[in-house]
Amino acid sequence: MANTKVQEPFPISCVSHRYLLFDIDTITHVRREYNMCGVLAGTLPTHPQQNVFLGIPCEILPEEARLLVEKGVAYIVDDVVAHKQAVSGLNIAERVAYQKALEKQGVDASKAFQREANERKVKALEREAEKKQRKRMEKGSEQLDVSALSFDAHHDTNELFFEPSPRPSSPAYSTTSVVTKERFFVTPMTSHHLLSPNAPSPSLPLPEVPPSYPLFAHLATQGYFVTPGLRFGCQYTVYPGDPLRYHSHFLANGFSWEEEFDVNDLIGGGRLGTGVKKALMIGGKPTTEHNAKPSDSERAEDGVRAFCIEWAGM
Amino acid sequence: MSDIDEDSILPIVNNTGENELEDETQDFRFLASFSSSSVKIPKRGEKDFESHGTLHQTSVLEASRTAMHEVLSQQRIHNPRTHVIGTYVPERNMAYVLQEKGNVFRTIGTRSGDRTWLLPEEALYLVERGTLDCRWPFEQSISPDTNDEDVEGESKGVGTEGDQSESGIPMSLQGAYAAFIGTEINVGGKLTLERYAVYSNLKRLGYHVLRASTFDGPLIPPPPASSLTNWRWPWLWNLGPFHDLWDRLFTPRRFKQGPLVTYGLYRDWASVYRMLHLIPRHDPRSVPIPPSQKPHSNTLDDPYHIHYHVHKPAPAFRKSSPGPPDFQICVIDARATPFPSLAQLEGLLAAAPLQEPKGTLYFKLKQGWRNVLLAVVDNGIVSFMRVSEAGFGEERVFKSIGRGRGGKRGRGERGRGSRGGRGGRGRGNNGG
Repeated sequence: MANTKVQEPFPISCVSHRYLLFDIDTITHVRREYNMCGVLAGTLPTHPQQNVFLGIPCEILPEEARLLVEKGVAYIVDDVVAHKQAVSGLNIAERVAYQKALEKQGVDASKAFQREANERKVKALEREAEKKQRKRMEKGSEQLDVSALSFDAHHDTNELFFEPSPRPSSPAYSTTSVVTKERFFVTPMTSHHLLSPNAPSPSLPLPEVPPSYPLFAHLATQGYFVTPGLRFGCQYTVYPGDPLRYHSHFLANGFSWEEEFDVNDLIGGGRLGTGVKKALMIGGKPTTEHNAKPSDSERAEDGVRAFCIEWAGM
Repeated sequence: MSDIDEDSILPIVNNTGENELEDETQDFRFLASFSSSSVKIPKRGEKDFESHGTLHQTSVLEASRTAMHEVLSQQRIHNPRTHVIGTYVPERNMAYVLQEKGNVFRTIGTRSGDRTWLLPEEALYLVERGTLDCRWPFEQSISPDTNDEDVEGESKGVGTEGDQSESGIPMSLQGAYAAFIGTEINVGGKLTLERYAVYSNLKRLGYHVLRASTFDGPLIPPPPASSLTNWRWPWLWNLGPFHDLWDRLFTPRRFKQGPLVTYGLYRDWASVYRMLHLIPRHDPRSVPIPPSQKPHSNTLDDPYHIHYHVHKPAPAFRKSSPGPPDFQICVIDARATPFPSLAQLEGLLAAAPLQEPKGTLYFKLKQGWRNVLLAVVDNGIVSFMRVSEAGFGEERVFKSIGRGRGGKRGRGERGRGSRGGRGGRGRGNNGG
């Protein structure tokens, strides 16, 4: 299942300067291979009235998008332009093919739905039969031995399912025939049937990133999972492994090397971090004469220094 | 399945435990036990501090990832019985529905003629929750060499169900984001991904969310007719006119020198405290100065104005006459917006309606006379903060003290007061 291969470079959708992933395989791939989890922001169609579990799209940080592009494993697609071209440039044959593909998905979905409904029905009937059986047992022959009981239960379910009385069975049959005739409609997750799979020839510029990018790149290339830090009042929350499993260790803030900041921020961040069993991390990239003008070969994370602050509680 | 109606919404819980739950990365393995029929939210899974390289840990993580992958792979399928087709209109960046089905349209959309128009955030939200099957408009997808059959199909109307080729091609979720969020700027709309995140966040919780009139930018309100606002600037050092009047009529005259509390007959402590009241205060009831008249507020690109009106879910709610909103929301991008200036905060609060807070003292102070919720969005994560105009001067704390000392003798508040005093002395002695 989750081991589906994703072909690199994969596209990252850019919608009004935000970077989104729509393909579940890509999301899983980025999580496993590049330790980036982004933020799931979409509504789950099966559980639309809650905010605890969210789904696709996955919004990734501009920093994450940039790092992936710089690594050469992804490229940015302007989704607006791509869709406009794809939809208006579609000829009849392509449209019919696309609709056929969706139609097939719809038929599959309706079949799956039907199967599930049947399974649910069977389970419900089984439960009911069990309940009935138990009631009968409690009422009457309490002296029944085990073998007789099991035989009886078996017999009962058989009666329910394989020699059905006409009343409950007929609606079941009729719905089956109706539903398979009516095919379901599908809203696909991605437009990859429509969009061209190749990277756009004039590639989009690299995503714009804040001055904290070197620290981000440093942590991300060290294998840390970095997520937005809004909840702890910092720039990034840094996890030692997948946030699904591990608590975060650092509240990170990236600065330019000569940037001045208030020492109160250190105290506040340090106290807050220590209070939630995390350390405050600050970091940046030194600007020396040597690398004042970064060469092309130099990467953003090269030479980054990071410091941790913990409340000593003396 | 996908057509769970809004009646089965989760109860809105305000306790902190719930918030913590949303704040953490959730283990998707627990979603399996969280069926739509039960409103119980699953418990947070156990997490580890760090990797200790055991197979157990690896397998648990693998299970979580697998569960997540499976949950996220779920398709949006439309049962023909509840299938709603929408058509995207690029010129307005909106969508319309010809045939409404289901409960969601009770609170979403605007009916005009035979069509229900959906704002971009409404359409996108409905697509995302699997309620709406949005289609690219048919006109766009015709190439010049259209054959007759297709033209006929178009003339039959977009909303006819049954054959898919008669309406435009289905829009994917990706396409919906590209259309409703991405092309918004081309039609001059102001919907951003941040605003959509807040909208969908609140809709998922069951609130009814409507655009405020200031969604597209701050309105320039007509200058208030009363000339009061002008001479009352700056507000901080001004007394309300009634307060002035009150002072002049009912308080004993105050002299430039001598004791604050002049000789006279005082029947209660309140009047003594009133004499001690020297520092002028801001009256939250005063007419706020609209942002346009402020010297330093930049109204054009000021991000601080109210974007959404939020109503608590109530069965009596009607989208045609929503009534006064329960909350005013202003959406802020955490990465691009600095903390508001005083002028910005003033302008923001001026747009909120004046409501006298009720309840206990601290609740009243927190609630404020006007309040606006700031929804701060950091890359998809939403956090709500309340900015309120606390009426500290309106809470006459001395009233309760006065009653205790001067009124009934020897009970209740008086007792508490004296005990507090002794306690204070005691602590002082220990310290020395």
